[in-house]
Amino acid sequence: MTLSGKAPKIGGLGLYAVFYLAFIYGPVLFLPLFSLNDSTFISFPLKEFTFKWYVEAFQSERLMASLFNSVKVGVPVAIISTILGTLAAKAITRYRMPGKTPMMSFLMAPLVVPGIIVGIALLIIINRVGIDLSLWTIGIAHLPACTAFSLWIMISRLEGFDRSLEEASLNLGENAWMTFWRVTFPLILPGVIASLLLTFTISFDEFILAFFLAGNEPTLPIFMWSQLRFPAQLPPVLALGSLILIASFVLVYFAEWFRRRGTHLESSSGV
Amino acid sequence: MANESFISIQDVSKDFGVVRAVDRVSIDIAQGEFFSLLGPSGCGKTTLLRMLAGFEFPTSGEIFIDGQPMSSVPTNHRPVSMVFQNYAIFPHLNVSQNIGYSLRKDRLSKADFNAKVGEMLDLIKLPGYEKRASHELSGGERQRVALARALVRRPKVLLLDEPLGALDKQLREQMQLELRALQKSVGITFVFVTHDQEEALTMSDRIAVMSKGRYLQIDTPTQLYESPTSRTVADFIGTMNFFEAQVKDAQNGRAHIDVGPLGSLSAPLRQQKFAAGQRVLAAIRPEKIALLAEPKPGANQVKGQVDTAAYLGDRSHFYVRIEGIERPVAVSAQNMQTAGPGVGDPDRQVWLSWAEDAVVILNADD
Repeated sequence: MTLSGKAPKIGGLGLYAVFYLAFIYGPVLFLPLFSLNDSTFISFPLKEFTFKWYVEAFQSERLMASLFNSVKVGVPVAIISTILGTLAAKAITRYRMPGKTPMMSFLMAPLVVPGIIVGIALLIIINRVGIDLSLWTIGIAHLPACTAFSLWIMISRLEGFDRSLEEASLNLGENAWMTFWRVTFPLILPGVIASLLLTFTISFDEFILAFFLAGNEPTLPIFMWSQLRFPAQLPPVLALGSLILIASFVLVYFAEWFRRRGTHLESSSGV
Repeated sequence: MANESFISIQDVSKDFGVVRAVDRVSIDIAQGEFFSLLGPSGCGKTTLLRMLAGFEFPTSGEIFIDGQPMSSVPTNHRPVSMVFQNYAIFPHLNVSQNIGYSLRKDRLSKADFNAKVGEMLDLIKLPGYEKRASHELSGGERQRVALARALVRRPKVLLLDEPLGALDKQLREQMQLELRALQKSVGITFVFVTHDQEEALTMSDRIAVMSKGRYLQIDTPTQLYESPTSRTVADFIGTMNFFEAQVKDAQNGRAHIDVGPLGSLSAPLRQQKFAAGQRVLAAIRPEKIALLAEPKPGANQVKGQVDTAAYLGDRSHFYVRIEGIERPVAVSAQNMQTAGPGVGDPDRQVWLSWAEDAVVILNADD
């Protein structure tokens, strides 16, 4: 918007932006569109408007079971990876120690190592050790990447954190543990919440690792993929997919909101 | 412990890797004293303060506070509070929670807690500020809250790390006086770190002038200014004119020195020993030199020419060229009479005159 309040002119860059957004979000929007269409087949023209696929989705035991499997994996993974990420970030930002830089690289590596490689490697090891594939093995596979994400969020949080606040608390008679709870934790809480939301989202819709390491309890992405072969099963999957889409948007929005709120709080602490 | 000093820093060094931040410093500070560590940044004053606070530990040497060795005592068990340079007010807590932060373990009733916080707010002249959020405070208010938070648990020592640096000049001068008055009323030993010599002179009982991890001189403000023991101290505190000189004889508390173009001078000795023939520096403060339009019979004086003059309202600063002396001599004069056209005009011939006791003799090589 220009200062004079005139309507913005859509130039070449504006057009590019519109196409870009359409390219990214257009296909995704077909999901809710067809989930409300009264036809088993995903094709135009659209027929009647209906909620029946949503009802069917909630009535499908296997679909619901896979949804809960994903939650059962995602919640502990989010909590554990956030705890690990926070502790690692605190160590990396607060202490002088040898090998800090390579250690950082190793911790961050799961973000860039292709999932298919990690998946195959883990599958081989888990088979060799003789552990049965289950939700546990999926959760373990999700931890490194989620921890890396959490570490990344928490480091940026702790780096913007005024070190003298912790020193002031220690100096005022509190030990390291109480200092963490009374000063550090409240100030990094927005980061912690952002980390919980993001790591949960990552684990929740992760496909490749779950595909390699799932036992007889599929997570939601695996189940959805398996249903693609049966046209009749597809519309309820679309319905659930639409709900997850909305939930993901809400979660990521809140994660970002919390992260920014924290940054704002931080900047107001300056003199 | 050997003596009655309240804080005793004994032969303390601190290394950071290969850098020696504090180099074998020994300082004794008395109870109730306002003691300043003064020096440029990187001189080790903040490191020394952080060792007193317990954030850093000496590489060698020992610090005693109230007779207790501190080397194995972490900061949360020391009877020492610190006011940080940026105040470190907890941004997620309000004023009352900030000030009462250290009272958690006392398990006070709500009424007692509020009474203690209220007492501190009265002390720092911010009554009724209990519920203010930290971001609603001005710089001066943050500084006061930081003070109250540090004082509420009745520490034996208060450490202050350049606490006035973030304030504007006017507020700063006001806080200097208030801080000094507060220290007198609570009777706590203050250790104050600053790079501002004026601030140190105004507030301190004694000052340690530090440079490169060591102290050069520990003295009262008056002694530091009037009787510096080295060129660095004389240069760092105020402005000083230096003249190369040679000792003719030194005995009975006076020395006779030959100061080249300035002629032969007699100056008081300050527990110094000089041998005849030794090369020294004669030092005179700018305000101790009188600028005369005519020679004055019988006085120490030298003829010169005004190089530059600056009118500062209450004072004027002159730089006067003297034949045979490389750097112009700085002279500061009170403008006691309404200034007219006169001595300040460039190239005007003037006479500089000084009292004998104004001359300080310093070693030439330090």
